[in-house]
Amino acid sequence: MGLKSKAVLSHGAEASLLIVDFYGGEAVLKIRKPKTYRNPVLDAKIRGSRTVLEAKLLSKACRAGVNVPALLAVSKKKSAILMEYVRGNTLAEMDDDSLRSYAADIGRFFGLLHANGIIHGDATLTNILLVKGSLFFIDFGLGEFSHGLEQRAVDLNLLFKILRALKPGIYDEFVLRFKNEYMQSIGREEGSKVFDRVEQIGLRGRYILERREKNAGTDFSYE
Amino acid sequence: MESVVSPSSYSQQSDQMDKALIGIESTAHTFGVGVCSLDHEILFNHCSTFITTEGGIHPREAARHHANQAPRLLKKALDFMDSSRLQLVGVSVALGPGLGPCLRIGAVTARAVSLKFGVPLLPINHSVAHIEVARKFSVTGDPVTLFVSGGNTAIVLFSADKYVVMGETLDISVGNLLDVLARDMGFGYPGAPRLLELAQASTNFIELPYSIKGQDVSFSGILTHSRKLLSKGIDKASLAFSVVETSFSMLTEAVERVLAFSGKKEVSLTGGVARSRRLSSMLEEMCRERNTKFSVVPPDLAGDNGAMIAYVGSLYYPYNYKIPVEQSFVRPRWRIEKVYIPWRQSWV
Repeated sequence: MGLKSKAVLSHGAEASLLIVDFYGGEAVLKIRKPKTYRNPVLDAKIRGSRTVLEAKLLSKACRAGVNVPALLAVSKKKSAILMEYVRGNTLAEMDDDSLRSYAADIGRFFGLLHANGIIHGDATLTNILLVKGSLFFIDFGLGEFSHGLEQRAVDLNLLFKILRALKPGIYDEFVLRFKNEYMQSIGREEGSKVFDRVEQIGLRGRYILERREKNAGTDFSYE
Repeated sequence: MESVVSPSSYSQQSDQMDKALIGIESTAHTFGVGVCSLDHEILFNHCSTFITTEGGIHPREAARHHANQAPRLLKKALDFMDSSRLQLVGVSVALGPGLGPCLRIGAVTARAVSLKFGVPLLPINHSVAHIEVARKFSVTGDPVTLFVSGGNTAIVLFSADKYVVMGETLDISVGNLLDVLARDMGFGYPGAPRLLELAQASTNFIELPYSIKGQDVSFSGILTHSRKLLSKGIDKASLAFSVVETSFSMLTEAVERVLAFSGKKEVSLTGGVARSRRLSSMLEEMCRERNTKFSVVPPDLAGDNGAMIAYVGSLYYPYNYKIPVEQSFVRPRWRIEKVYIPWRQSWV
């Protein structure tokens, strides 16, 4: 793209993020490098389609009123996206009390994303930044466009799964506050359907006793 | 059982004899008996796999197969111990997860051994056995493990005091995908090895649903789409090639993501599908790019076997971990997170 790379921001599993010069300022260039282990046809398809999709998601999210890095340029051929450089700390670095205080905001933004047919796809704590008091959503690399119940629930389930594992102390309260605002944002009827599905997904993994007990009404008492 | 086990020196106390455990595996299609010494050396590993000419495994038929094979294999193991002058100090058995009717055959066999020779019965989690027997051959001792078999697809790592599933299939296992598709193509069970062989005969890539959600994968879309293509008369080799490339790429990508956020420095591959050279080479390539070590379980310990059960028994043995015969129920849905792993506790 003829851009001068100044520094490497990160090397993720999916892509590398470079900080580049952009009209005297700084921008982020996200490049999906070829995966040599993958069949080249498959690899090119995956990288190209994910790049284009991510760019579309970013621009749609921005228009929906969710804080995301502004989209500057896209190249399907190079599997690269040029975007605004957003500086901030991730939610993963935040202490429990502050995280709890942002639960409602996070819920509202997810409601807004979902209401606009945007699924983030990788809702981890490291993909939400706090920038001067407002939340920014980054990395839509695994996202998709969908109004589907399942997709929405899977999206939320990932966030809840991580919170349950990493922040067990605030989990219940976080989900409660999140849920309230999410419902406000997307509508009570839609919202409850999504949360019902989240509960179902939790029971879907292999060898889950509760599912058996729920479905068959049998008593399994070996654990 | 009584009639095939002749009284001998199996459990007689003697300082000159090396101590060993018997391990019994019967969670699915394979009945296996293994022997492992207390210093963790695998000495004996024999098994018999229930094979069908067409169709998949019926739990009851597999269990019948196991019941028929159990006395012969057990006698073989006991004879081996006798001739190697090994003293039996315990019997470990895979109580789950797996198919109930099959598990019961292994449990009954193990209980009989425990009662007959007065040795402790050690309940082993089948998944832990696959992971641990692969870890025996690992470089760093703390890998991210990809466990892939006919019944399982899971990405597991050790965290704090237990094994944790970081990614898994949301529907069918990768082995199940390959087996079912192979069956539709007219191969019997287990068909996966033949499908993998057929895949090498083509390089024609057909696009299939590539479904990865976070660190979880979903294979049912590939199966549905492949069946549709198959019914339209698509070239089987091309389809096999594309299914293998797509599903293994998904697994490799999911493992890479777990590596990225866990910071672990090794990938260990285990389970029946670990025999696939293509899967190994993909993971190895990914690991090389990330400066990460890669190790794979030896082929004879990849599929279900009794040796890995005996081996985990030898890990538990110093911790006096055992279960009374009357409480040794099978556990068809025994999640790995629930398993006590004393040998990896830092405070031990």
